[in-house]
Amino acid sequence: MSDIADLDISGAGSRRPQPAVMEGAAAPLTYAENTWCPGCGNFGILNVWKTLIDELADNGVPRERIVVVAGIGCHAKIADYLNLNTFYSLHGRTVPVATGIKLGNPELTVIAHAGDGDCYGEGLEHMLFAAKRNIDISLMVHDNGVYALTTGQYTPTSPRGFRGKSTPGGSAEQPINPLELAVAGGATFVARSYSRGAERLRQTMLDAVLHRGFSLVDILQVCATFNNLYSYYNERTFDMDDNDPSSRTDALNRIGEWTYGGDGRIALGTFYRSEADTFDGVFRDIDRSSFDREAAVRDLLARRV
Amino acid sequence: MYDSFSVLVGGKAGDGINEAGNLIARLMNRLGYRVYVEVDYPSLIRGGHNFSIVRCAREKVGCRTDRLDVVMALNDETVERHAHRLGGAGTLVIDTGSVKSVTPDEADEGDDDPSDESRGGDLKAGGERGGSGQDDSEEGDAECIVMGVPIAAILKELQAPPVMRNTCLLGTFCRIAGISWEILEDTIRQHIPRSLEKNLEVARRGYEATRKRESLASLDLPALPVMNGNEAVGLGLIRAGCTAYVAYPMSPSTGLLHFMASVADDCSLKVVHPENEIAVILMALGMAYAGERAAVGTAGGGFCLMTEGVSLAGQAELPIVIMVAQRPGPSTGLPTYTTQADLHFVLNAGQGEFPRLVVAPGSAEEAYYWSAVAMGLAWRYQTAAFVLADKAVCEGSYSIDIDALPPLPEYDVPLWDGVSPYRRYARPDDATAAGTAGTPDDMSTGASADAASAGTSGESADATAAGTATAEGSAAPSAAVPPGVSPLAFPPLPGEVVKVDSYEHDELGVTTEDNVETVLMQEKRVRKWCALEEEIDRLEAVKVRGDADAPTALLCWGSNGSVCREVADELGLRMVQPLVLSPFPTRQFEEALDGVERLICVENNVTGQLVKLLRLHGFDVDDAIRRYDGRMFSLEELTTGVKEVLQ
Ligand SMILES: Cc1ncc(C[n+]2csc(CCOP(=O)(O)OP(=O)(O)O)c2C)c(N)n1
Ligand code: SF4
Ligand SMILES: [Mg+2]
Repeated sequence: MSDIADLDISGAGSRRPQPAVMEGAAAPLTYAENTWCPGCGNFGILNVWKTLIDELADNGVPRERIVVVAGIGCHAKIADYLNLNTFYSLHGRTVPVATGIKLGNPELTVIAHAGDGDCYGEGLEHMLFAAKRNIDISLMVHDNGVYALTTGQYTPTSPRGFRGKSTPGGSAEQPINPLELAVAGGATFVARSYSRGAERLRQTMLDAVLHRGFSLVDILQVCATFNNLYSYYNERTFDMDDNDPSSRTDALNRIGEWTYGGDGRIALGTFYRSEADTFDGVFRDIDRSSFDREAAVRDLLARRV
Repeated sequence: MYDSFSVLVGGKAGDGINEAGNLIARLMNRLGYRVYVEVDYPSLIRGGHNFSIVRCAREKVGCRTDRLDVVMALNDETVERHAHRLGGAGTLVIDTGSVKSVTPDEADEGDDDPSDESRGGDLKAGGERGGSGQDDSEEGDAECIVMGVPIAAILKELQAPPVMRNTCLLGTFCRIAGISWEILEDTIRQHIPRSLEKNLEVARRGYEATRKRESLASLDLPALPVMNGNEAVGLGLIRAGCTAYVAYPMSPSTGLLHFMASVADDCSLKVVHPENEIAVILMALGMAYAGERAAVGTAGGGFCLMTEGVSLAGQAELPIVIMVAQRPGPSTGLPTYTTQADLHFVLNAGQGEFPRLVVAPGSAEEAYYWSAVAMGLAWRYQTAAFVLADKAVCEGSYSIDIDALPPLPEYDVPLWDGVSPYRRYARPDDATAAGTAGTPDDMSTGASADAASAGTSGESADATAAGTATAEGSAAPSAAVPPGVSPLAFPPLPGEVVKVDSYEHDELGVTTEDNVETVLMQEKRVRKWCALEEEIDRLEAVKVRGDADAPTALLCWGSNGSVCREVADELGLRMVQPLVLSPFPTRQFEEALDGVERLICVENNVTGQLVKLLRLHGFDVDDAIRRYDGRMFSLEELTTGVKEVLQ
């Protein structure tokens, strides 16, 4: 009778045994098999999470209130690996999804893990608007300068001349500086970190998550397979200790020292940090406990007689 | 043709034509008339030609007639384009300050009291007025008169702002229609409370500038609210528990965004206008994950950008209501006109196979009812539900009587029972320990309330309860948890995780490429689809009106419902209107066509999109009547069209 599917869909089909859940609800990771390449910088970020969960709990964010949103790309597999609330979304769309979750329930702590192709290419507009709104979410960009999951094309942060599979003669475009854009957009927390150096990364991610407002951490995450920049980064990165994160001018100057290519030294740490009203605050005080829908509808109708 | 009375107000964009039409509609509505207002305007802020047609009758109406009783012209173009449509005793009112192509007739002493011509309960003032066909302007031309009102001069003299032009027109209309000053004053007090004294003065001058031509009696019917389809969609969504509306402006859906924003505080709504339609739908899906009953609205162009989100809703099993308001395409097309050309786009948008509900309301009442149903079913089945509207419905204003509708069905949202571990994509039907459904009541009182989060899901549960607390006799929904549906829960959930995924996934929500798991999940979604098909069969998914036994049937969808019903009544035909287009209500449709020998399909598109859909489901159509110039069928046009087909 139904035109939908000519199938026996009674539900009695063969059923694969479910994988054991985790070692327990407290385990940081799920049973999902990790498929990142050996030496991949994503491991460094995942490892930080193992301690970050407890640290956030110590800072008043119990793990059930954490929601991780991921895009699509190698970076995004973190959604499967983390034994946390997750929304494994679409390529380029972590930010609107994370924004929606935060607006839906402002009591949640929402952290987006995005790729550089994902967030600076496919979905750049969303990042600027999240900064503009100062929505209280954190954006961790696994910036490996390459579309890794699609096996190696140039991204918005690849340097000019980058030889990827779609630009075999070398990219003819200048890279963008995402941190400049974020500051220009109005972000209230802007930092850069590196997938190597667990302690620095842990501290920056923690600061970003606890920051009230929109925070961006551009994480130089090495793709061991398609863009191995370990030695490039090891030679050039350094921890900033003399900057003034409250000064926008200072922040923009420091951010401009390295242009995602070339020989400049690469500063790591928090460039900019300020306080401002958050967009989710607009919806915080909605109380629906006594809202009578039938009465509201009748009232709206009565006003139109 | 129902006995009715039609007024057209025409002028340049910026003249406030819409508002003038709406004021006349509200006034007639207060006299007990059922009204329909069609607005016709180009995509301009100033200039161009705008008009608004108000049709009033004892019966509910939802289409215009070509034949007009009063034309109120604020520019020459109105005279040129519409005056010839005035019937026998028609009246052309011109603003003498801006209309130069005609001059007012000399006032005829004693004209002011045509009591012998009083319409009484009968709207037709003496003689045969109900012409059909387009060219009906010849008869009785002699009796048609022209009256002048120096609107600009009046406003200048009273130092009134230009917007009060409408008040002046309203006064003029009342005098012509034979509506007492008291009723007019009352209406102005209620609907134009700002600068009341000045408005009354202006109305008085408009009233006194003309003479009585008709005696429109007030009907002994209760006055009904007047609403356009956009507002009615919003009202239905709110009634069914909508807590958030996200949209980017695009005609003809913008009215819904404006309406939701204007009632946000009163209705505890979160209304957001983000950077583009991609963000709109992704934000709404994020909200749904957090337990918010979100809806979005757009037109075809914006919906193009949303399609990745539609498919995500299917895969991640997230509930969302999407209003798509049709306007002629391709591409930017005709932004402010009407069409029914996005049916297959909406039926097929988004990669992959997953259930979707598509309802197509054809009036404000249907928009209210079916938007509420869409919200209920989106949440019960955790998928995308579409309200496929068209400009004619969205921006047309109708008298709306929600008490005349069947009671809204109660749709429970199957909620997690709190028995660990929580699996977002649990397949209870193929598991041995099938989870039982938590009803909203369980949520607020039972142990499961702790298991699900305190904050958001509690609100959502309230919303569900409120959204479904309707009178007895409502269609009984199906079992506690429909096949294929996984009970919902929202973070925070101590000791549990809520994982949703756009990749194929296992029951927990972890990505999988396993072939067996893939089959089980594909079939889970199809089971929901089939259950949804059964669910809509409990509603009046196919409307039959006119003569239900007639062997000739007019078939239509969306805004053509009203005009087809009226033509069917007039010509003794059956009228069949599917309100649900996906899943297609095959059983009800078959029943509706029982005994039909000739099926005529009426649509506003070039290629016959409903005809194509029917073919897919094994039904054939004999004749088609199509209009695709961006305008609705008038009653006379369709009557003539149907007669020609039947000859
Ligand atoms: C709309 C859309 N376009 C293209 C793809 C294919 N795609 C998957 S991952 C990816 C690139 C990922 O690059 P990046 O975001 O930098 O993540 P990485 O793999 O480097 O972590 C692309 C283009 C997609 N999934 N969706
Ligand atoms: S391709 Fe690159 S980014 Fe992806 S897992 Fe391998 S090393 Fe990591
Ligand atoms: Mg990348």
